[in-house]
Parts: sequence; C-alpha cells; structure tokens
Amino acid sequence: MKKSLLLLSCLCSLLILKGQNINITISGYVYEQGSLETLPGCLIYDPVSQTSTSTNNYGFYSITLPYQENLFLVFNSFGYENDTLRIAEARTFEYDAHLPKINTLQTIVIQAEKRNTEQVRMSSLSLSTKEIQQLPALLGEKDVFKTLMLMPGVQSASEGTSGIYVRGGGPDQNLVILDEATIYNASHLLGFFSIFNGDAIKSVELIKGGFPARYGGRLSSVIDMVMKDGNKDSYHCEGGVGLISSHLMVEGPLAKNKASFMVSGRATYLTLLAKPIMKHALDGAGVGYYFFDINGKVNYNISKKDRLYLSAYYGQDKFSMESDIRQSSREREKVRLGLFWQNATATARWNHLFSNKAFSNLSFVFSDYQMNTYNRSKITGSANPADNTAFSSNFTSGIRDYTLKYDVSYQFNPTHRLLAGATVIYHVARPNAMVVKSDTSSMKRVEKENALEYALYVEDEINFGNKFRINPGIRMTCFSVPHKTYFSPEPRLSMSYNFLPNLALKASYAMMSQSMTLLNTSTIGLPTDLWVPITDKVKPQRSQQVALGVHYDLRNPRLSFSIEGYYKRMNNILAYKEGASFFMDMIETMMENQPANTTNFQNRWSQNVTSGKGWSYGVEFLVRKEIGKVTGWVGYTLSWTKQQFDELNFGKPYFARYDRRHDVSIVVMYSPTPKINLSASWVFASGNAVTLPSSIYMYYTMTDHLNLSENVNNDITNTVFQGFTENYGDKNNVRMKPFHHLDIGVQFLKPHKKNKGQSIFEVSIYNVYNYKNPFFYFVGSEYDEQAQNSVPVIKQICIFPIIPTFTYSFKF
Amino acid sequence: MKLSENPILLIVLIIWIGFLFGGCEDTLNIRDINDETPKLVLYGRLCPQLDSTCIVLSHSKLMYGAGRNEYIHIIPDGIVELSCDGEHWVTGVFDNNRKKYVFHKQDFPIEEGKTYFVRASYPGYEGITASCTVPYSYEADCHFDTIVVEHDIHDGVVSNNPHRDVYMQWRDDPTSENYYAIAYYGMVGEGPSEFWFREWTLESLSDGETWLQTFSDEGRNGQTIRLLKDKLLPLEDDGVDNGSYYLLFLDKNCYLYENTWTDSQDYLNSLLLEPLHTYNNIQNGYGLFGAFCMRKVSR
Repeated sequence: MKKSLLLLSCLCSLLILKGQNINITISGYVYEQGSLETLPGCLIYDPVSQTSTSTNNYGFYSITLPYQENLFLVFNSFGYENDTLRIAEARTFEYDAHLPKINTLQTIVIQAEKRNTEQVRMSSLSLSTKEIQQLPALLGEKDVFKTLMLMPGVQSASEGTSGIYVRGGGPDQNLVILDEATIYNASHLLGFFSIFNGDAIKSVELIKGGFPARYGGRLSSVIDMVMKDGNKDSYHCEGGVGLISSHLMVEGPLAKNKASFMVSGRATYLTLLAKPIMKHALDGAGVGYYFFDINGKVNYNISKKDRLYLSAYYGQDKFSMESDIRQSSREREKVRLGLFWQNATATARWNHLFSNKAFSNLSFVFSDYQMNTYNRSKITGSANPADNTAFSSNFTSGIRDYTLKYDVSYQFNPTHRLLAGATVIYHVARPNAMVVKSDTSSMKRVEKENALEYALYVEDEINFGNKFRINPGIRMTCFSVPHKTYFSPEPRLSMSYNFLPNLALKASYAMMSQSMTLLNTSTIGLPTDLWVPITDKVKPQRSQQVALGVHYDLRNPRLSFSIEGYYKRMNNILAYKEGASFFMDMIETMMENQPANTTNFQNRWSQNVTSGKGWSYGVEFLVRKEIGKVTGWVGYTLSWTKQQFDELNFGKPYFARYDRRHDVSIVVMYSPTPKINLSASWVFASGNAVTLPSSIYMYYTMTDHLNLSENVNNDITNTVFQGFTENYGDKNNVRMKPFHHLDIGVQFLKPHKKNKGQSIFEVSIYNVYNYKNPFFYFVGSEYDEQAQNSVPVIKQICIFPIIPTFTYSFKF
Repeated sequence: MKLSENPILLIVLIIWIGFLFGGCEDTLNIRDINDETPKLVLYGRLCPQLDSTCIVLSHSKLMYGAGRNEYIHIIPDGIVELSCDGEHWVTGVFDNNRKKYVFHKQDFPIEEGKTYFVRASYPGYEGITASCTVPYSYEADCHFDTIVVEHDIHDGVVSNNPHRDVYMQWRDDPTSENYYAIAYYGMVGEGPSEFWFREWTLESLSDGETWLQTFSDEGRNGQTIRLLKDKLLPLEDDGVDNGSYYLLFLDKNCYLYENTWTDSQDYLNSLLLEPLHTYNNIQNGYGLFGAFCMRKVSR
C-alpha cells in the first residue's frame, strides 16, 4: 500500500511538473578529451524539441529547456565523437562534456554545416585546422586564408596571394581577429602567405554577411581565429619541415588540469637558399629575406567560475639589400636598402560566470603594426674629402590599438538569449614618419593621427517554436577624431524559417561602418599600403548588405546544399586619386615646406584620396559532403562588383579590379586506409580587370597650339608637332585571362611506437598541368619583322608553374 | 659543406631554383581591347583675340594587332565644320602649309561668352562632335610684384641669403568659375645666335607647395591670386626679356586637358600607379575642343 502511494505520489509529481513545464538550465564547458582544450562552436541540442545552442569562443555553453521525460542532450563538434547526456531529474545543474577525438586526419566534417538548417546565422562557415592541414598547398605552406579562398564568395587578388576579397569588398574590409586582437597586415613574403601558423590555431570562423551585432568595424567580413589553449593533461610537441620554412609547437600543463601553455614558432630559410643565386643575379649585391612568427598562450582556471587567458603573437618580415661598390682604388660606396614589417598582439582575458545562465568576458587587447623602409649610403676614401658623404632616409608607417572590451550573455529561457557588450579602442596611427639625414642637414616629419572608437551592442537570439528563429541586434559606434565625431547606428537582423526539418529559408540584413582604411596602390597587399583613420574631412565607409538563402541537409548520403544571393552597397569607400600613391605621399612629405622637425603633420594622405561608392551582387552555391571516406565540396560564385568615384574614370562607373564573374572550386579528400590521405583541389576564376592602353593618338598642348597653330608671328610655323599619348579608355578596360590550377597531395601517416604520436610524410604538387596563370600584365615591345621596328605588345608575367613539394611533420 | 655531400639540401635547392626561375613572361595575342577601333582625333582651341581659328584633324591607331603598324597622320581631306548655333555650319579650309583647317575671323568670328560647336568626318571613321563656351576675359590687374628678401628660411634654418622673389598676381572675378594660365612669348634658347628664337611657353608658378602651369580659383574665388614666379639674386635681372606676358582665361575643357596631360606625363611608366587618363571632350573620338581668351600683362 505504501509502495502504491509512493508510486502514485511520484506519478502525480511528474504530471504536475509536466503540467507546470519546468525549465531547467544545463551549463558548462565542452573539452577535447585528454588535452582539456576547450571546443568553441560545439553544437548542443535536444533532438526531440530541436532546441539547440553552441559553445562560445571559450567553450562555454548554457542551455535552458523545459523538462520532460527521456530528455537528453547531444554534444556535437567537428572531428570529435558525439557525447550524449541523459537528463533524469528536473533540476538545473552543470555539466562539462569531454569529447574524444576522431582519429586525426581521417574525417572531414565542417561543424557549421553539421546542422546548418538549425542555425539562424547564414553566410558563415567554420574551418578546423584538420582541413587546412590536409589540403595541398603552395610550397607546402598550409595557409588558413588559402583554404578560406576555396569557399564561395571568397576570392584571392591573384594567384598565390593571400589578400582576401569577400563579396566585392577590398582586403581592408575584412576584420581579421586573432584571440580578439585585430591583425592589420596578415601576410608574409610580400603577400604570398598569411601570417597564421596552423599549429597554433584552434578554430577559424568566417562571416560574410548577416553579421551579429557583436562584430563591427569592417564592411565585408569577419575572420575570427582562436589560438589553442594548450594541453592541460600532458606535454605534446608538433612540428614540421617544409620547402621554405619549418615550424614547431609545444604545449603542456603548467598545473595539472588547471593551467596550460602553448608556444608555437615558424621561420623561413628562404634567404639561405636564395642568397647565392640572388648575389649572382644582382652582380654581387647581397640580398636577404626572412620571416618568422611566434604564438604563445597561457590559461589558468582560477576557480569554477573564473578563468584567465593570456595570449600573444609576434611576426616579422625583413627584406634587405646591400652593395659595396669600389669606385676606384680607395673610393668605396656602400648602399643599404631595406623593407621591414611586423605585427604584434597581446590579449588578456578574464571569463567570469555570474550564474549558470550568465557568462561574461573582459578583455584588454594590444595590437600593433609597423612598416619601415630605409636607405643608407656612404662614400668613403674619396680623393676630395668633400665627396666623402653619408646619407640616410627612414620612412615608417604604423598603427597601434589599445582595446578594452566587455561582453556578457544571458540565457533568459529556452527560446531567448541576450548578448550585450561594450568596446573602447584607442587608435594611434602614424601614417607618415620620415627622417632624412645627410652630412649637412637633417629633416624629420611625423604625421600622427589618433582616434577614439566606442561601440555598444546588444543582440537577441529568439526562437518561435521549432521553425522560426530570429537574431536581431544593433551596434552603436562612435568614432572620434580631432574636430569631429561620427556616430553610426548599425542595425542587424538574421532570420531562419524551417519549412522542413532539413530545409531552411534564411535571410539577413546588416549595416556596417568602417573608420580605419587601408590605402593601397595595388591589389597584391604590399606592406607599403597604409592604414589610416578617417578624418574630419574623410567620412567613415558604410555598407548595407541583404542576403537570402536556402539551406538543405540531405541525411543519406550526408550532403548539404546551400544557395545564397546577396546585394551589398558601399558608400564613402576610398581610393587614391589617379597618379597618387604611397610613394607620392612620401615624396610630398619630404618636400613639404615646413620646419625641419615637425611632429604634428596632419592628413597629408587625405589630400591624395577620393571617396566614392561601390556595389556588389551575386549568387553563391555550395554542395558539401561531410562524412565518409570521400569528402569535399563544390563551390561556385557568380558575382558583379562595380565602383564609381567622381574623380576617377571621369565619374563613370567601372568594374572593380577584383570583379570576378565566375569562381569555381572543387575539393576532394579521400582516405582509402587509415594511413593514407589523398586530396585534390581545382580552382577556376575569371580574370581581374586591369587598365591597359588600347590605342594611341597625337597630343596637342596649349603651347603646341600657340606655337604651331596661330598667326601670332611665330618663328616656328607651318608644321604640326607630333607627340603621342596612350588612350586607356575606361578604367579597368581589360579582363585578364582566367586562372585555374589543379593541386594534388598525398599524406602517409606513420604512427610512432607505443602509440606516441605520428609522423606525416606529404608529397603535393601545385599546378599539376603547369598552366601559365597570369599574375600581372604590362605593355612591352617586340620586334616586328613586317614593320621592321619595335611594336607594343601586352605581356603577362606568371610566377607559379608546376611546383612539387615534400614536407615532413610529426607530433608526439 | 659541399652540396654534393648533402643531397637533401641539393634537392631542396634545385626545387627552389625551379620555382624562382620557373616564373615566365609571355606575349599575349590580344588583337583588340573591348572592340576598340581607330577614331578621329580633333584639337581646336577658340580664341577671340586671334585672327583665325585653326583645327587639327588626325586619327588614332590601335596599339596591338594589325593596326599597330599604321602611321598616324594629319587628315587633309576631311570635313571640319564650326557652328555657333548647331544649325548653320561653316566649313574650314585645309591650309597645306599649316596642316590645319583654318577659319578666318571675318568668316567665323569668335566672341566671348558664346557657345560653339564643331563636327568632323572622314570616310572610314565615325563622325565626331564637340562643343565649348568661350570664357569672358576681364581687366584683372595682372602684374609683377618683386620683393627683396634679406633672410631666407628654409627647413627651419635661417640663412643670410638676400634675394628677390618675383610674384605674378591678378584679381579673380567672383561672379564666375575661372581657370588661368600665364603665357610668355619671347626669345628662348642660346642667344643671341642662330639658336635664339621666339617661342610661346606657359609659365610655371608656385603656390608654396607645387609648381603648376594652370590655375583654378577654387577655394580663392574673388581673391587676389598671387603666385611665385622666380627667386632671383639681387644682381640678376628679372629674367624678363623683351618678350610679352599674357594672362590666359581658359575654359574648363582647356584646363582639364592641360592638367591631366601634364600629370600623365609625370607618372608615365610608374609601375605601381594606376594610369592617368588624359581629358577628352570629343564625342566618338579623342582630343579637345576648348576655348580661351588672352590679355597682355602690363609691364
């Protein structure tokens, strides 16, 4: 009887609970099993109610659900086995999931695609370092940006370069973040490789549209990268030797299960290989080039509710050339030239849990980019002592940011999560600083432009049932420069509606503003491109983007399809006026009639730029196979990008240089056995639009007219001076040839004894069929037999023929 | 260490050299760019102060393909016509000595403030048209102003270097948008000798930052425009011989053509720069149809 009463009372309690629809909250962190590396972007979902959430960049999650019988949560992350949590009691609790890793380098799964139809966000994708490691790469250098370029809507400036163009935006319109620090120049080796060392990166997320309100400051994309925390359980080492560089990463616990570190470094030995060749080619002049980068991170779990992260990056490139010319038996002239650039970042972050529903993060971020060119010459031993002279010039440009940032998220109920935050950034820009010294004089010009940027944002994630999800938000940005403050309210909205459980229609709108601008003279991302803040006369760039897409997940075989159309309008975009450039800025700075030492030189660059507008629209298709022995994707982009400046091309609109009508990428990865990975990628892209002369004709200036035309008693008459000028027609009047290349690679995985790590031998071939892809065009000349003189011809330079590469890497 | 003793280094070196020198230069067989065809080229600058109006008619040629071997020449047998209303046209006569189509003042007078039209045709080419409005000239009180400078300040350093700064200054008319140039007509070259001859030149004047040959009143409308012409040592003369100076009142077409042409020459063959476009206001062709007035500068 007693038992029956107890059973009845339990049953009643359950019924009451069900009737009351009690909400429970489960929160915690998701880790990689063993290393305790936190897993950002891990999906946590209830398969019955279709309620889901995902971990933030720190691996934290909080999900609130109505309690019901047989409730369980699935933890799903890219490259990891699922974890399932069965919830037996109607109570709020904490749970840390530990996901075992699937055998490395065998399975390609993209988390963002895993349940794409169940996420409100569109136009975004995540990459894991596993994909980056497996795909064949130019010269064997695994590159985050090059892998991103294989995705629809993401383009390179030209073959081999790492400058990214997203949906018609320039390379400066991408917010590149490494552990919350902005990276201003993300390239090594004059733009051929990005600065991000795959060993140190844990996750990469690219957002092309429908930007959440927590991101701001750039018009076209966000590339958010998170460094590895470091193994909290045991010491590990990874490294590799490649054709032009080697890399090494060490990680391990500082205090078991509480604190860990990660240090990673990469350096090139290009100079060692190239020096003898270049010395011969340059008639004895010595040439040096190197780059290196170092990543480091330390994290410490202070308590259950508090965590501390310290991370830093430093990377440097240096090109130098020196010659020592003997003019006579005693007289010598020494000349040294150089170009040097570096990025440095440091981030300190404090995570705090106010409750299992409220997560906060406080960050202090330092970011610095510097570029320097120098020229030193000295003549000694001259017979005339007055001829023994020394001269040096030094031009530097750079930008430094100090950022304080606070973000908080709160899960109100199962269908409603709020995120809010504030950011203050102090920009210290020094676009032009020049020092010139000679024996008789010296000159110093420093252009400084400081700016203060504030932003407040709030965004909401709301689910209406299982089908309709909405993510509205607003970001208020304030940019303050001397004499002017710009205020930019930026509304954002993303929506998703599931017609079927695996078919979703998505739409988004985002208004963005950008107050830091890159002045570039070319599209290959030279380090001489200058970062400058807007001024009281140069307004912030703004964009509005709308996107509409359909996403479909096919369960068997596991394929995902997406089609997205977008239209983006950009205002106040900047470009150099015709004939102006970094070099002109430099010369004008030097020639300016100012006192010798000037440190308040203002806005020289702003006189050489003009503002205009641009618009881009297109459609992106993506089909991806995620699981199985054969994985990969097919991406296609059809797009148009145009610009219009009142002071360029006589005010007429023209196709942007990086307007790319067709862009195709096919990526296939195949693992026939656990010890072999095969991969191939083929890309095809329409050529860039460039400006080349198309015809020539006679010119006739005012003095020609006065001297040769008129009856004003000239001594020179009766003739017509014939000089010729080239007609360029419209700007970007020539379309370069399309470029395409096939790259293949094979990796042999050899486990070490006692299962302690593995060695990977990789052979890859870039541009298998040796197609001569155009890098740039120029007008040259060649001898014409018929005309018996030199005639102009268009020539193309291609720089990447077939390149086989062998690399060895290891981990233990 | 010998390379032959280290085969791995040797292999790496060979591959790297292959990459370095594998880069190639190819000539492209580009016949036409965007269906570019040869066009008529016309130059005409109308001036009420001159006895006749001369117009040059020529043609462009393609840079590549078969057309590249053709020669550019003056077209003597084309039709060049001027009109002051777009309806009644006067045909120019080709002067074989001048190699230009000439319109004498008595047949076709040019007046300040009036708009004129030109059209030209030649078999095998698309007909071209253009128009321009002759600017007004006015008494601008243009004159030289010489100042003796005892101490020079250059780059913040004071030097005792007495000299004379020669300025050219004139008054801008606030009621209109104005463009100017200073023309000099006089002896140039090594003289007096057979190499000494008279020529027209445009004077370069400095506003303190740059030296220019054409000037706009933008930002100084209605003000006195004062520009540096020369820095002379005390014993030197003004550098002014018996020639004459003229203040030219340019229309915007002439101003833009002169500016863009000068800039395009300055930055010719700069690899890292986008090319500069030379101004063109000829419909279906190339060249310039503009106007100017001239007034002699009092000495």
